[in-house]
Amino acid sequence: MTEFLGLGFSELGGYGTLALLLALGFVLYGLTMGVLGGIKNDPRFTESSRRSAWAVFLFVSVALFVLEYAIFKDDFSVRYVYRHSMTVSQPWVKFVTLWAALEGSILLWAWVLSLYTFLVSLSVRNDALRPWVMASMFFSLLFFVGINLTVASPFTPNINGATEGQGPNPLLQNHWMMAVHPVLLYLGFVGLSVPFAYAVAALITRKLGESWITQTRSWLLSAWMFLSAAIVAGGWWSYEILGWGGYWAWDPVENASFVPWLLATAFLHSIQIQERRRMLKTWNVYLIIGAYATTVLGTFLTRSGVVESVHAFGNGPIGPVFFGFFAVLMLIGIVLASVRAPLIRDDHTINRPLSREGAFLAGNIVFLTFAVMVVLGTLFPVLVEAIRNVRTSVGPPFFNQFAIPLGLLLLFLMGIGPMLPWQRQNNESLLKAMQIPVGTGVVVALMALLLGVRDIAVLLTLLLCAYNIAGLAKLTARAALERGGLHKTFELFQIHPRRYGAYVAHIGLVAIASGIAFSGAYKQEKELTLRLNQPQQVMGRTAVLKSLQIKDQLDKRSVEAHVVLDSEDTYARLNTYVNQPQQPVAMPFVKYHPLKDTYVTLLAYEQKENWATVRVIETPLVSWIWVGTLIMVLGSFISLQAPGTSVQTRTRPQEVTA
Amino acid sequence: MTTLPTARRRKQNPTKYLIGLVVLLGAIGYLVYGNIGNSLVYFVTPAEYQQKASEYAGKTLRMGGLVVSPDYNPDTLELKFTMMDSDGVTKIPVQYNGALPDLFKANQGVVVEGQMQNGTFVGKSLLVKHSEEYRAPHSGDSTDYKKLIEEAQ
Repeated sequence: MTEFLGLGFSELGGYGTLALLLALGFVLYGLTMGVLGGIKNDPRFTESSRRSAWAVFLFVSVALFVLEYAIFKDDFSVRYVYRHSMTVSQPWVKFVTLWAALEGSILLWAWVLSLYTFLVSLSVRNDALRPWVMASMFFSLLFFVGINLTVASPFTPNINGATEGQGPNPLLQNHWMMAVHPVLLYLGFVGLSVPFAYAVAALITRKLGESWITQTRSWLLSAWMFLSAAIVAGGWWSYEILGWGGYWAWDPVENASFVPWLLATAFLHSIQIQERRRMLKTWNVYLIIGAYATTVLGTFLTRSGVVESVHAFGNGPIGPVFFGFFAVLMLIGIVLASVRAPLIRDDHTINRPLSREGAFLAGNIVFLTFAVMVVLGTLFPVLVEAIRNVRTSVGPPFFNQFAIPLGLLLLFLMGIGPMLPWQRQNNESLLKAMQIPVGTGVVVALMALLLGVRDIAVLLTLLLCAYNIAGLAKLTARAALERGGLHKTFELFQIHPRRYGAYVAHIGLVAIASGIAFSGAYKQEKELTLRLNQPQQVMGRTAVLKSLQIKDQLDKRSVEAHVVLDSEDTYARLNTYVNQPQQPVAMPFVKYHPLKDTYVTLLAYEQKENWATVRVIETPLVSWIWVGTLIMVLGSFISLQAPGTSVQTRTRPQEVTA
Repeated sequence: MTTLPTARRRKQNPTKYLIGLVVLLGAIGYLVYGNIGNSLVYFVTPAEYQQKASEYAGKTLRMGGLVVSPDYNPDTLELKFTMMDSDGVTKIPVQYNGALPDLFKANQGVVVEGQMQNGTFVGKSLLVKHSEEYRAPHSGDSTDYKKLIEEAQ
């Protein structure tokens, strides 16, 4: 036992806390040096600030490694390990236990932030923004490393001398996605801190030109790519584990990740207007501040118990602390932006709404509205309680009310934006350009109508999806033909990776939209009890229970029902983990098909009487959501290949108009 | 590096802000005056429900209480039981159609989401929350119950 700060730390806990304290010291040093470098305009201070980022990264990495080591060594004298780990867990579960609970995930957050700060310190240009960018990154670090040493310390000692821990939450031991989803999410969330830092630096130095935008584009796009992947990965986990056959429930935690995504997506588009047309400078600053601040707000909502959620996270002082940080971020942003606002002069205004920037701006307004509505919906129960003093919750119908029309509106704008040139458009050429896409859309929707699709939202989605694809295909084909033939398409990707990457991402989104529309409108499910070898009809298929097997393993007892649907074998399982015998976790069996998955969940069983109750779910096109996300990520990746294009003051006359 | 053009106090153009504001307000209005009431789920205990039965008519409720005399047929998946409030007096008959979770037993706490129909609470979903500290409710611990209702998933 090591006496330290008046606490009796175990050896590992002591090392971890020491590493975090050293990291905190370097954070404070780096912050001070960054600010001094900015104020005194002395590059020596700035250099010092940059180098302290390396030390911070080193020490936070040490702390992360120590916690991981403590988990693998089953060192139950560290409270985090005692509460969230157990000796019999499989190695991969122990590995992800690092972020299975609050303190560990904040440490992971701090580590990702220190990694980004390190990378920024290597890549940041040697210009006036540099000291302030570093200082802003250190400011975020100060918060996260600080709470890791205080209210969310993973190294707090545990003095009961336990030889076995309480083990991780059963839901987290059940699927490898839990190893991926949180990491992706933090890579996305924390990635937004970089454009935020640049925005703050631009505000402080009054250099609100295109420079900060150009420098942060790759950061933003990477963060956006991770965040998109993380949100869908969370949905996929829900689909694979929770056994309800759905993937999105408008749960506060889902919303907490969706709001920053909406704002980041808006920002991704509006910075292009600033690059091209030098407009919306203030708007962009506010957007990125909002996007970054909402990542913190979301964490506050889910960790404070203000809003009830599936992710029943523990309460504690962490909520108010996060809310304080959210308030500080918003305050810094708003005060800075207000002070600087009179200095920001846009070089142009939107003179014709029917132009690409007009479509982008309209899209921006929709994204912002969407984000505000989701926040409102998430907080609505809190408002109702404050006003009427009744506890309520808001169901998915509430959100779908506005999410469907807004989503359709976004699909519509998404198809029209790429077809329009910057600045100018005479109405005739627009009408001509839109003939093929709109025609295709209408034809597809009519075909769907003939095939029996009667749901108006699905028909509209199909129409808009087809019109998007036709428009992008037309643009690509035209550009390729101009270069000498369709076989030149690949060349286009090499010359304009940014533009064609965006097209690919749009196609991914179209696939996701179709998947959401069909799975939302045509999900069918039925629960039934099967007795051994007695066939039953379910949704036009024959189901037979072939066997019920119980397997005991070190960390869990697993019950498997072998059900044959027509000729497909399914093995739905129910796992009961040794540390939570009262909380069985279903492992639904999912067989992916392009048009309709086979999905069986084991709900209840009685081995003595040889019966099992299962839920059979048929949801069309769910796989399209996962595949579409992969396409979207691929598109972002292609876009990232672009060399940073220099800012153009005027649009080129040979700009491709449809 | 771009240099900033000499700063001039810009003329504010309020039109775009107005458009944005109108869109936002319109959306919020649509929510508030739309069928917001129908998508709210109210958390009540059986006793609270009985006090304001007329107010909760036709609304979706999440009700929590103690399971008394359950009757379940696994083949038809039909479940009937009585839900007792923690006051030990108020009882409400409950009907539910669906698989029974493992943890569902008599004298256990349960939370049901559904609607009242002719004096019977017809459940759409059944939520059983088990916590290590869980004790059968007795008179005077209704707070536990509220918590159970809120936390049940």
